[in-house]
Amino acid sequence: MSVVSIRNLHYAYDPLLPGGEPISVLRGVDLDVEQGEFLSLMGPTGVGKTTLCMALNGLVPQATGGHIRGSVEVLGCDPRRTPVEELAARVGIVYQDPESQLFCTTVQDEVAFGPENLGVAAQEIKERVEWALNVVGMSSYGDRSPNQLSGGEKQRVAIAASLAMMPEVLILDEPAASLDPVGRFQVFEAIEALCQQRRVTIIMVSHDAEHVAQFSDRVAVMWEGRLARVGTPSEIFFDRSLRDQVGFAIPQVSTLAMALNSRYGTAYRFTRVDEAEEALRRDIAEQQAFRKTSEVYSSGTAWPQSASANEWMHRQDGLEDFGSLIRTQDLWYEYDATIPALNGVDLSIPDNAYLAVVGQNGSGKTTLVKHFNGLLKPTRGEVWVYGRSTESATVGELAHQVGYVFQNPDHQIFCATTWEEIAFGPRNLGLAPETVRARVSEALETFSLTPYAETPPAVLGYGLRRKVSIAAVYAMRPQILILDEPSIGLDWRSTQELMARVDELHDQGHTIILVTHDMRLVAEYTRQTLVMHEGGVLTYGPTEVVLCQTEQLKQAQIAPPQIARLAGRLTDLGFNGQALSVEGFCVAYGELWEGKA
Amino acid sequence: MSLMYALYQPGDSWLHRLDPRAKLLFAFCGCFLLLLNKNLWLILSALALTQLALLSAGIDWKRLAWVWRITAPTMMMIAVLWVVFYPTPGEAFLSWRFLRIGIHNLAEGVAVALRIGALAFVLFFWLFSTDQTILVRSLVTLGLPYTWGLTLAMALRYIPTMTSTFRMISDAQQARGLDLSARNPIKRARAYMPITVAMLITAFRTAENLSRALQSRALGASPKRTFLRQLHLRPCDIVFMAGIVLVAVVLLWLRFTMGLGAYPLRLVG
Amino acid sequence: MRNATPLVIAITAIMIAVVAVFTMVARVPIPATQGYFNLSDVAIYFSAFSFGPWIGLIAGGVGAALADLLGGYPQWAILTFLAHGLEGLVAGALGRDRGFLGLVVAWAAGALVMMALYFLGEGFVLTGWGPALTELPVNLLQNVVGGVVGIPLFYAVRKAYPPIRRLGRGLAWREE
Ligand SMILES: Nc1ncnc2c1ncn2[C@@H]1O[C@H](COP(=O)(O)OP(=O)(O)OP(=O)(O)O)[C@@H](O)[C@H]1O
Ligand SMILES: Nc1ncnc2c1ncn2[C@@H]1O[C@H](COP(=O)(O)OP(=O)(O)OP(=O)(O)O)[C@@H](O)[C@H]1O
Ligand SMILES: [Mg+2]
Ligand SMILES: [Mg+2]
Repeated sequence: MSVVSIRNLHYAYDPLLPGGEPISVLRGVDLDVEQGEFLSLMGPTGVGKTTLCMALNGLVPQATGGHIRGSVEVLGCDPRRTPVEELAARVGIVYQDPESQLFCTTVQDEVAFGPENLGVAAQEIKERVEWALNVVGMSSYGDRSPNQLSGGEKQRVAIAASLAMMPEVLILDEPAASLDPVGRFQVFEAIEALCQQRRVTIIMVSHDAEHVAQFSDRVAVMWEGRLARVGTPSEIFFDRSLRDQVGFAIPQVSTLAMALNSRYGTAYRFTRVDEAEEALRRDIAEQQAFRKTSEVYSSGTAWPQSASANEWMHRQDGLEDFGSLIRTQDLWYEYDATIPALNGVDLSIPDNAYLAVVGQNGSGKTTLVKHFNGLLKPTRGEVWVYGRSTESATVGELAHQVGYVFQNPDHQIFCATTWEEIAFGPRNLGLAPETVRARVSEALETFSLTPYAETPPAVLGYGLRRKVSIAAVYAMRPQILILDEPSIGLDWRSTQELMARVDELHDQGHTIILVTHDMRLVAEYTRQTLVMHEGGVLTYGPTEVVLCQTEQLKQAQIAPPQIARLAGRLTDLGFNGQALSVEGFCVAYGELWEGKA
Repeated sequence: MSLMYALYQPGDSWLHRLDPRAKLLFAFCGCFLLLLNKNLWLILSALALTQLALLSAGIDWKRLAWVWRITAPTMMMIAVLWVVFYPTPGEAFLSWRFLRIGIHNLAEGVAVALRIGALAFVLFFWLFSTDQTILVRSLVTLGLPYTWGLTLAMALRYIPTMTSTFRMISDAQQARGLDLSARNPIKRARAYMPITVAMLITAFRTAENLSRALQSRALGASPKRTFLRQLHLRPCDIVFMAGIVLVAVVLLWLRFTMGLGAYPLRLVG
Repeated sequence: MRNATPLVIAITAIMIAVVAVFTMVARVPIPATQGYFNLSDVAIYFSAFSFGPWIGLIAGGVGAALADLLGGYPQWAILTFLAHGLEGLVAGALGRDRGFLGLVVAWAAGALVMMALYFLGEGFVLTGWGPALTELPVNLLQNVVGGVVGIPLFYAVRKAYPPIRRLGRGLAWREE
């Protein structure tokens, strides 16, 4: 029986600007979801995924207004005619932003809020709260305030709060977008437990192809207001024309499978690391058994030792002539003079570096990079930028050299037009009006924002706001560009476009510092990697070296990209540290296959 | 700058277990009586009583010191200005132009100043020992509509969040070269514009998402809302409340018949 | 708060928090003195002009009173609630949906109400007339800043985020 059934659904928001056009978002969506199914919804930023989710619980159109056409049926109700609060008991929804959906003062009250509204008896509420917190593994947090939870914990509480109403359908809108790998894993684990133990129907929006492949039964891809295709993960990820058209992310191992298929004529269709391992192991083992040469490979090539990275790190220590742009010496920082956030960071970042800063939530990444533009001053130790100590420099002075793009674009946007927004920084630098104009036009051009020059940036979609916030910093022409988690909430294609721009800047000689949780970006773009852990530097070196230091990465709770993990699992067959990218892996595979070491 | 978002200090003392409504009654009667009172000795004993009560409930003495530190400048100012504005009626040991300082207005000034501290402690008697959810819950049982109570609780929840948003926005705009160091106060306040505009837009987005979350969690679904946490008046709460009312009535009666508390130094008229 | 829809509840709660934060955190030092002024009145005029008298009353009164409680001045909370609440109420009642002149009138009325209430409350009950008199210029400066910054702020936010006009009002939807 279909739990959700949508036929030819059209929806348009009312215009945001007075006298504007209605914003047509859904243009003929058809979808059926079965009881107990786990469906993932993918698609570019701004395509209408959130809108579709809200159409399932009645917020669209009851709370958002606008025009609607077509039919929606959820659990036999029409969400347009059923009051939202009535349907809420049967259709739970968890939103992307954890901050605005935890509104009570303790975790316990948060989870109890839904059942209380439904008029459930106090004793039963108590049982439900215990049960729901237990499902998401948060039983011991009942008395905490949401302000004292990490991002991953917050999202798990939000899921528990939905669960306590015993919904038959649970909708999750990018539940793990801003979490570190550990937080993400916790959230997905909680969702999986639900789906398997209670047969709750799950509809999840996510850009995270690897988790989508691992957990979902079916994947729906949204494009231009419609569902372009609905199918199993391997059908979707191996549909090349769909991918070229929509540009969604696919798991790295699937990219690998396609590369192997096209190069060696194999027919791999794996979407998960364990599938890939199994398939490759079987084939290579057969081949090797056939030629009995496996011993040559199993012992010979070793992983690069962590010593080499340490050596690289130490080589730079105290070397003035190394051309280091930013240097820190014994840098300590405490918030409010009590909360330690950095303890003794020694670091030297060379000119024209392309540095990735990775680490868990709360490991001190943001705290560290805020020292580079003077927003924070060391509690102890010193930081030099261009040979000048930041102690005496103001943020405004450093803004000439160091640009900082904050994690949330909404923390910068305030002007009435995009043009003004981008001009704000250059004007603060005291540039002449002609120069400002030239810079703004160039920035608009570079980030393809010219059509929006006269629109208020705050009403643009998330992806465009992200671009505006980067363009606004770019227009200041900083020699050093710091990007704090730029890819959050962006789809795969926009991320690639953005990184291509950043790559160009690097080629022009700018120094790039990228704070991120996305290890694929680290592997594919950056040259150096800095791993932060509990306020200190765990390791620092060339990216390809750091990504092989499995011990350190494990300690910092960072999962290497899928291919690196796969290669790590297959070392006994002879894969080595070169096999970190799709290209490298293909080469290694070819050598193993043909028997040339 | 010291900011405490949660006045509540967790604990399990007699004061924490006392019903929040009884504490509210105490705070209310205490404020009322204090405002009718100018007697130095009575105000000092009110101060001593509330401090002892708070300490006996295991409230950190650092919190008490914090209250003193915060109220000290106001108290000082009040004492000085009182003496300046109200020349002493009787004998003055210092007089210069319109200034006449004597034991009478000095004592009165000190009493009125300390009264500010005493009011603070009477209220903190209630706030330091009652957690926010219970506090709002008790207001609801006293007749505050539930949606108003919810609004208040959510406001308390979002103050720390909005504070950190404000800091983040301020950092982001300064990183783009925003200069906040104008000398003229009005110019300086206007320099905050990029921060305040971004802050308000962010606040609206949060409000919109919040309203969606409230609806998705069935706010208003059932006309009879239930509550996980129930408040029960225990016999000792009732005794405590009766005691407060009795003492308040007696003090009030003494105030109006014998002038207890109307004079700074003498107890009665 | 005649009809407390979830959206009205959410906006009120967030505006209370914003007023409290603008009072406690957005403190602007006055150069050459040790003093500060805060942006509380900026936030109050803003909420009153944008969302009308009721949200102005609650956000202004409760927000400023909470800031007093959390800041360590609970004895002022009731008076603050009345003074800033009525300031918001009056400014919202006179200023919502009005042009520039309307806003100026609403601001002046709100400022008068607030200063009068503080003066009377402090004079009669809390501190006596002397200290109440010295508070007047401080409150005047607060309100001048509140208007001189609050009115342009109101226009700036509307321009930067036009959808704010429709917040706090019901939305109709249509089926074709
Ligand atoms: N309340 C609104 N009024 C007008 N337009 C809106 C509104 N909410 C969203 N939109 C627009 O509708 C489009 C679809 O938005 P939606 O949030 O559903 O996309 P999404 O696929 O969830 O994107 P994301 O990946 O950023 O979450 C976007 O272009 C957005 O700008
Ligand atoms: N303004 C602040 N006041 C107090 N403590 C803070 C503040 N900002 C950060 N911290 C604390 O300092 C530590 C480091 O925080 P930081 O923001 O640098 O981490 P991060 O590595 O950037 O994490 P994330 O991945 O979540 O962005 C954390 O424990 C955090 O709780
Ligand atoms: Mg979305
Ligand atoms: Mg960070």
